[in-house]
Amino acid sequence: MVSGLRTRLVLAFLLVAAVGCGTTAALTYREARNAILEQAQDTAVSSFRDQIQELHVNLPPNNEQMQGMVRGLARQGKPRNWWVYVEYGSVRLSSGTNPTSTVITPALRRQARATPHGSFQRVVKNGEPYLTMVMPVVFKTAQTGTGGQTERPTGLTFYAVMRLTDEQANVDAMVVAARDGALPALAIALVPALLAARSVLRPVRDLRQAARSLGRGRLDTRIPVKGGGELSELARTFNESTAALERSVDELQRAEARARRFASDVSHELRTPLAGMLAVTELLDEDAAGLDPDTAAAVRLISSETDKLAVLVEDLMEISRFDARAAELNTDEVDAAETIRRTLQSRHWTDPARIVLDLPDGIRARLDPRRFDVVIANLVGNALRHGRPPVTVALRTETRPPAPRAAEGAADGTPDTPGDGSTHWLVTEVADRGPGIPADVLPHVFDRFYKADQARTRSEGSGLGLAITLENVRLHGGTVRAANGPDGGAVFVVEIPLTTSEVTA
Amino acid sequence: MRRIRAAAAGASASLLLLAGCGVQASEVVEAGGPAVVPVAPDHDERVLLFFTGPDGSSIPVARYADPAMGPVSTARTLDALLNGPTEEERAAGIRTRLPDGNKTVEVRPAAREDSRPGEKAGRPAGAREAVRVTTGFAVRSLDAAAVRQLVCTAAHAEDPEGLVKVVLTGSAGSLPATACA
Repeated sequence: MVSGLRTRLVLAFLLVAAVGCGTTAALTYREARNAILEQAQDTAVSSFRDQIQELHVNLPPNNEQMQGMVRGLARQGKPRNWWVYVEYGSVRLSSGTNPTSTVITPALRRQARATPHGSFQRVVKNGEPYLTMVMPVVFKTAQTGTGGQTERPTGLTFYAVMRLTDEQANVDAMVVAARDGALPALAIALVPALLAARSVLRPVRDLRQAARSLGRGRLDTRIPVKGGGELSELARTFNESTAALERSVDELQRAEARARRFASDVSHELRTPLAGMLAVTELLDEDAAGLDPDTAAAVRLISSETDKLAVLVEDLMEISRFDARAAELNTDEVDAAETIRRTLQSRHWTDPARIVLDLPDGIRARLDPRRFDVVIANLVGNALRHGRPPVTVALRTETRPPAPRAAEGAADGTPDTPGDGSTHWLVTEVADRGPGIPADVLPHVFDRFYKADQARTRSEGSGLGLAITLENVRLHGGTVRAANGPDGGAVFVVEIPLTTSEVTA
Repeated sequence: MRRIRAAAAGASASLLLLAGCGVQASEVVEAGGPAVVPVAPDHDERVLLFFTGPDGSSIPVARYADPAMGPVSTARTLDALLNGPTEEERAAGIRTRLPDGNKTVEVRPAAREDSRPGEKAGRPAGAREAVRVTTGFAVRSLDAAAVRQLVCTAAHAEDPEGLVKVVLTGSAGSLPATACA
């Protein structure tokens, strides 16, 4: 197989050149050969006829006379010596030693007998070409000079056999010349072949570069269209396609932006009335003790649902800030263990029966304390809600070689790379003792509003907690992944690259 | 790829064709007319007798006739033909297909209806259009070579161009008027 457009183009070009050279050479050769042979044949036949016509013939000629004739004719061979044979009645005589020729074919003899015409035939015998001629002899029956037209055969038939070795040599020389001429012609054809291949391949190369640039996301890539050939048609089509693609992507992006803005606007609009409602429900809650039990239950229900709605709206606003890429990372160098402890205390998750801590002190990391707080709170709250206590929160650092990161249900981050190529990570693990996460749910735990239990349409959370956790970890350049622990509970692992050089522990 | 391979095969085939052929054998090719020679004895001094070669072809023999004796009659010429080739002529393979035996022959102008009208063109003035040759043997059983011997000899005896038609009549019926060809 020949691969590569350039190779194929050059080969095709050379092939065309070869076929062209070959055909021209073959045709020229054929014409030249025929001309050479015709020249020799015509000269030989007509001079043979002319020489015979100078003879005087007795009817019937006797053997000595005929022998004299063939000897005389043989001496005058033209363009070259020939052997002359004569047939008369049953007499066979020749200028050579054999009275009859072995080269002359029966077809030529038949022709001589059938028609009163001179004829010739080329014969190749033992690889040597011969020209064989036959010349029947006629005489005019009327007195010479009276314009008589009637010719009768005399019964004499002359044959001549001539070697065509010189013609053969000429023809062979032409073959050699044609062959020797074709090879340099092919070598010369290589130059335009390469040039042509280059000019054909340049647009192809442009196209490849444009396609690559398009693949990198540069949708405004266009190819300059020159001329009106097939390749510029291709370029035009490419440009039209990329323009169409750019338009659709633009439209999609606009639609997405609109949708996000809508979600954000809706949450904003809900916020004010909700604030009012919250104030009212707080008052109602305080007064609930004084109402009759049914009304009190209804009031408490309204109050708790309003609280959830407020949380949902807050979460929605948070996530739409991420979507709009408006979320900012305000990092500070903090003690990781201290930050986690503070988070748990602020939410009153301090019961050692429910929360088990494994927080080595002295790990300093560059974090956004507010966002890290959200991450830890969401994970621990999630564990307390769906799993069974005790919930373990563990903190550690890891140093890894720059190997490919594998993560199940993970979002990838871009860890910083120290000089030696290895990376340092802050790893926080939140594990519970619950039933774990079903395998079919595992890939979706970080999806928005994904309900692990389809039967339970309402959960205590907003359905956005883990999605917000993921976005926050991502903002730190880290990953979060969910898995099931060896003893059955769900394990969430948060890995955040440590950018500080003061790694202890 | 298959196309390229086929084209390559074609190119190499044409190269082989180019390299492999020198002077090739040919068919029999006709090239001009026959050789026309003057024959001896000259027209005035000869009678032409048409005999047959070993392969059935026509071989004319010119016998010397003294012009001083005047023109030789057709009947005498035919007598000479019926007498057959000489020893020398026989040595060269010249034969006659005519029967040996009754050598009587009679020549007279043919009746008008023996020759077809409209064939006069090209005939020398004064020449007879047809002759009737009566032989003592049956002519219908003669082969083509023998008939040609009689017809050509009689026609050339009547007319140097030999264009006279000849009606052969034998002991049992006659043949249609024939020209020497």
